[in-house]
Amino acid sequence: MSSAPDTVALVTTLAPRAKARPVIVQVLRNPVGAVCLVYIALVVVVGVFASMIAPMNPNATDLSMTNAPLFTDGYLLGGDSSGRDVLSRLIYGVRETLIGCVLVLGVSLILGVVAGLIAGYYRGTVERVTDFISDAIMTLPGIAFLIALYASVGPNMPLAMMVFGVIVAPTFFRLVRAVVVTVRGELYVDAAKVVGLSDVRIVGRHVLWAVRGPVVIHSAGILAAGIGIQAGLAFIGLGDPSVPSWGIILQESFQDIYRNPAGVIWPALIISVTILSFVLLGNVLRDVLQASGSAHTLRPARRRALVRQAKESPAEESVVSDDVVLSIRGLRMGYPDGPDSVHEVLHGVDLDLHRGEIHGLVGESGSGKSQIAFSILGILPAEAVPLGGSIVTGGVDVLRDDAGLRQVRGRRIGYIPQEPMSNLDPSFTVGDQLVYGLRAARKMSKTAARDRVRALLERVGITDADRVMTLYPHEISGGMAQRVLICGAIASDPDVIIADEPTTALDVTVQAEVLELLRELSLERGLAMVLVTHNLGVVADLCQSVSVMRDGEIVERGSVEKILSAPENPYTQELLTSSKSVELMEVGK
Amino acid sequence: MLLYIVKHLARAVGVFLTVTFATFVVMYGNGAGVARATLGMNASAQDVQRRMADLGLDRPLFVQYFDWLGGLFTGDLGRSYYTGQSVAGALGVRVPVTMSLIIVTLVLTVIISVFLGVAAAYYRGWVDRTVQVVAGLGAAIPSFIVAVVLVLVFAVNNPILPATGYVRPTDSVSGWLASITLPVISILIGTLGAAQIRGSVIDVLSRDFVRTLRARGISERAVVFRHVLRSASGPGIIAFGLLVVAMFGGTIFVEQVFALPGMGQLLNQSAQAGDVPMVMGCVLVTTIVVLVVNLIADLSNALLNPKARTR
Amino acid sequence: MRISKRRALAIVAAPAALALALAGCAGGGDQPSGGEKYDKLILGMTADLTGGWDIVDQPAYQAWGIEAVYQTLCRILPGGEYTPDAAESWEVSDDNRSFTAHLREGVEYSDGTPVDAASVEASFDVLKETASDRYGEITYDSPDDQTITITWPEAQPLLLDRVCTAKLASSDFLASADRDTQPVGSGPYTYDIDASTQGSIYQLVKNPDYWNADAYPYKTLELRVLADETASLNALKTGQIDGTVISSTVYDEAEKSGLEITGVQSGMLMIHLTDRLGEVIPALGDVRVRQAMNMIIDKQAVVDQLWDGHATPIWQPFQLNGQAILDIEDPYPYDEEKAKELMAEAGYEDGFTFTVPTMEGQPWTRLLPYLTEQLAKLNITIEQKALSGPDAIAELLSGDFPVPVWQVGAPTSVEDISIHVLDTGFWNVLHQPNETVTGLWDQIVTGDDDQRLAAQQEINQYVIDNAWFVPILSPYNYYAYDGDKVTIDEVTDPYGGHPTLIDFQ
Repeated sequence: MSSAPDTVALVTTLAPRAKARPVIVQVLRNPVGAVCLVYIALVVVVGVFASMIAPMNPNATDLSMTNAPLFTDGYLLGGDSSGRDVLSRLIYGVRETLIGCVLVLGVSLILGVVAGLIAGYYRGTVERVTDFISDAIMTLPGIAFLIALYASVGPNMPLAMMVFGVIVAPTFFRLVRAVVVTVRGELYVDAAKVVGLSDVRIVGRHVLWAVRGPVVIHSAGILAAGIGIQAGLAFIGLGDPSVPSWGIILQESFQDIYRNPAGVIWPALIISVTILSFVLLGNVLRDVLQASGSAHTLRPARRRALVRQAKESPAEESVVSDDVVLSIRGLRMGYPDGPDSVHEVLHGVDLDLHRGEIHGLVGESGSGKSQIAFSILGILPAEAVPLGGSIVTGGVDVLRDDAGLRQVRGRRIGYIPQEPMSNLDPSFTVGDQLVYGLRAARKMSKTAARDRVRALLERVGITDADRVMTLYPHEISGGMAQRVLICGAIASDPDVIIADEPTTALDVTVQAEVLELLRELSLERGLAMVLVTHNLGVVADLCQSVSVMRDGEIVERGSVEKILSAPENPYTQELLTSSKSVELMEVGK
Repeated sequence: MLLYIVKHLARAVGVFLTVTFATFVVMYGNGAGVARATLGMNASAQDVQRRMADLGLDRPLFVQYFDWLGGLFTGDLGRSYYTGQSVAGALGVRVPVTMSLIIVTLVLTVIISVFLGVAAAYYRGWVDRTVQVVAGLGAAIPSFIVAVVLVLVFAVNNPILPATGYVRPTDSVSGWLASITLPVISILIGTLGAAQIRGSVIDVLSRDFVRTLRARGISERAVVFRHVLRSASGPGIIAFGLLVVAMFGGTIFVEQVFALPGMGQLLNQSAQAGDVPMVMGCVLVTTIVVLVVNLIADLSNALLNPKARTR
Repeated sequence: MRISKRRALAIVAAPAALALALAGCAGGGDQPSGGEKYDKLILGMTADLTGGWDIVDQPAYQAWGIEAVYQTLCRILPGGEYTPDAAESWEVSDDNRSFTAHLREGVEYSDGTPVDAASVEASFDVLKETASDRYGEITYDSPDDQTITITWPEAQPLLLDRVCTAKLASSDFLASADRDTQPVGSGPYTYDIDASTQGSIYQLVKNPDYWNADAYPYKTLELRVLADETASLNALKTGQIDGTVISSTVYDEAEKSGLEITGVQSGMLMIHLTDRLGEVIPALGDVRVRQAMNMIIDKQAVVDQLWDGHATPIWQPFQLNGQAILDIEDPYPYDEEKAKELMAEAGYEDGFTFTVPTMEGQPWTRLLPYLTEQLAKLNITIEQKALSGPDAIAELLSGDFPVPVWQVGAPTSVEDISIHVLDTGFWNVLHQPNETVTGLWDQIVTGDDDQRLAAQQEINQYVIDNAWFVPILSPYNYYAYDGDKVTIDEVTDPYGGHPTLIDFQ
């Protein structure tokens, strides 16, 4: 995995997150989640204590109350077509309905999760066989089986729900199997094996833990489906009329819909609301368990205010000269650490980049170097909040002028990312991506673009350009991918290149080649470059000038010779000392 | 690629045989009951025996199954025990009805849920929450309730659309559209909630290459619709495949409310009456449709996501 | 929504209940029958034809298609009258064993073959095979082409009913393999197979050569299968069809929509206490227990509340227009105290338990909760068992459930007796013998008209005195139709279910 800070890690280091609360608390903190959870809990309680809560026996009949309207004489929700109390029947009905749901969930969970764990862990024939069975079950018209079951044994909702559980088990199976396959490939599982942990322990501890999220979320969906299918089966006449259940109550009310139109409302309502609460609960669980780290979101109004403020604040005078291709003044930005506050990450950065200059941006992880790179390109993550400053290039302040940014990005400024494999679109061939990217930046025909791309690929050292253009990203090596990315960056003939740790993810031998390539390109085309790196050796090799970053500020800036031989700032000195032994040795001067 | 297709086909045939045999087993065993039911309450034991022999119900399970299987090759799906109607004939009338519901609903589902899912994933915030609640509501309200409400409001009380009946598209395209509008809406409301697009789009949006694409100067719209969707489509396509299976179940309710002469109704009645040839015919159709849809889904996935081709 | 209610009208009920109610509707052209009034009559059917177009003993419920296509020798009218159809005239032998029909001249089937003695014989042969318990032993004698005598080995009190239910079809047709799909009869209409879709729409075209063609004014008859009651009512409201049966629950709604409704009262909803000898449930062997069960039910309240007044309370187990009906008051009026006393007297105040079989779609199901509650007051516990699948009817009548609750009712009291009173009757599920009834039955079989009448009434009195049943109510059967298009002056269905084809004018 890359060592460059991605935004998730960044947020966690800069804005120390509170210790993750238990899931249930997180769910309760979400207003939707709280309402759903409380409602479901209420329903369960009602079901368990039905005999105490219900005003009367669900089968108690009073002929004079047939189809009685609301609030008549102790029949709070009115009477049904046989003269029974609707409310009591609904309350007792909870039990049947819940039992049915639990059965569906139980059967499908056990079958699906166990099968998924085994298949995903052991793979091979076991997986093939279970996969086949799962597909066969999923292809079965489940309803037909349930109807046939009814035809042979009569109405038996618990049995039918168990059969339905088998029918939906494959959904759990697929889910669990997919997660297990992924987790199994993780290093820590291999480590556990090496240490000698038994399979059962590995599965029980690590794999099961990874699977719990998706399984819990899916379970909510299955419970919702259970209620729905019970109502549906009763609707087409497969229910058991001697036992009060929501489905039966709904069906009976449908039969008398003309005599008592209002009678349909209560069962329909309670069924819909309960299903809805399970569905929404599932959504909340998904957000909580699979949260992408942003435990802090800014209130939309506050964000708007801050952004407006940043755009309207007076810009410092930046140098306007033909020689300066990129000029940053007072750049401030941050990430939210609460609904109203933002933790500042860049505290006013200044930078001037001259034509043809290769400028290194060094610092430790978390110092903010990548943030500057992303800010220039306007590709900060959505959570980032710009707080002030200006970035001028090609006569446009890209921080304040969105249209200007779109003009400049890709055309005047190019980007070389760090991790070659994950930065290429896996769905398109190399040639396709490069041609499309080029044509997005510069108007030209497809053929002209292809020719140009081919030439560039050869220039960056890919000999068999035609063949490589037909390959997909997963079919080429890391080194080749990085060259492709470089090609993509320079194809539109930009003036500035922002390179974010371009060699960090490459093998040592390939690193040297790529660095050489970058130097050549810069010389050939007069490219100015901002080279973000934590490796002083790279700086020494390639850059003419360097800025040293620490905690969101540039603490020292100057020519490479000066900084590396006679740094003034104590932090720079520290940096040099610790890296001298390691990195400078690698490259040599 | 060819090998991929052949492997998949072979597997599909295996699934087909398993499913049809399982169905047969479940339906088997009621020969005497069916024979008596076709003759009426007064049938004597001899009459019943005679009828059973006529219908071939006195043969062992495997013989009956293989007989049925053999019939498939000649296009003979048997005849209904009750009405003597040819199964193939009955299906020929009813399957297009159900399929027109399913196909139209599927197409609409794909289009609408892609838009809603992308919007929710992209804009997050209140857009996301609204879409989720609406989708949740749609999934929550059972389709037959929706169907009944729609009929009452749009057909009976305000005669805008027909309350019952199906018009073949070959007879009148506008009539056909009118007759399937309400049924499709009833099923559609439920399927919108089941789409997976939102989740996978959110996932893909946070990936590195999306950032790089933006940096290349590609427009937001192209980034989302040309690139992100492609990568996000995998789980979505699989989900849509599963949806077809669920929709077959949904058509049973909707066909009843709107009195559409479709396969769902046939399956319901036949299964309850023990009319095995009809049930097997319906299962044959659903199995083939599901297998074909899954095959198409897998192929589309392979087409759109090259990594998947290495499976 | 609900699959249509299955009417339980004696022999016809069961197969209808299991019929493949193939749903379907429409095809092209939903024009609200504008143009010529008598061009086309579109009727909705809530269940498909059972057994296709074959002439086996089909249930007569909603069998307009069969009525249209086939003739019978004679037709049964309500109240036990008979009118000629294919047979111009007939004689019945004194010993009630033979029926001699004189066939109309010059009548042909739709395939051109004549309606003659040979084809009648062939038609009855089919019944010999498929309904062998009733027709198995018949023999024929035909002196000429237009005369045929059918003879049973034993006297048949229901001779005319038997003869009149047999549909006539040509011998060629009967020999063919396609009996289910392409009918060949001699009725008022012919089946237009090209314009029809089995299971959803049946088109029938008027047969101008039918001897009574004037009685059927419509040139085309279209039958649409709409299995769901609400769907069929919706179709009627929106003008897609001209008429359909409706249940009493939607009576008000239909009325509100401006539809005409005609109603016929028919059938008896009763609890059949078939274990009068107490073999299975000892308590039921005591007449006082059975009487108590009668007195614990408030029939009027049931009619008023559960049936919205669309029924009449009854206390005699026979059709209200039947010959067996006596002019008496309710012998077991509603009286909870008296009922409890009777139970105590009989020594069964601790009550007992029995299981009531139920089936999906039965209209009386809404009565069950009330029954359960009332009988519980006598410590009698009712359990329910829902029957399903193709074996349902067989199970229902097997004797496993000695106390079924069911609606029965045949065109004549004699038939009623043969079905639910006589020990051989299939609704007398335990088939317990009873000398009195059997003796009186002999009188019906062999006696003259006066003796028959007396015997029927005596049987009625006997079963009432011995509380063999708990009769509850006789419901109204309703048929809703578009009054502007269709006129229905009378309903000639002997089963009292709905208008027959000839009633649509």
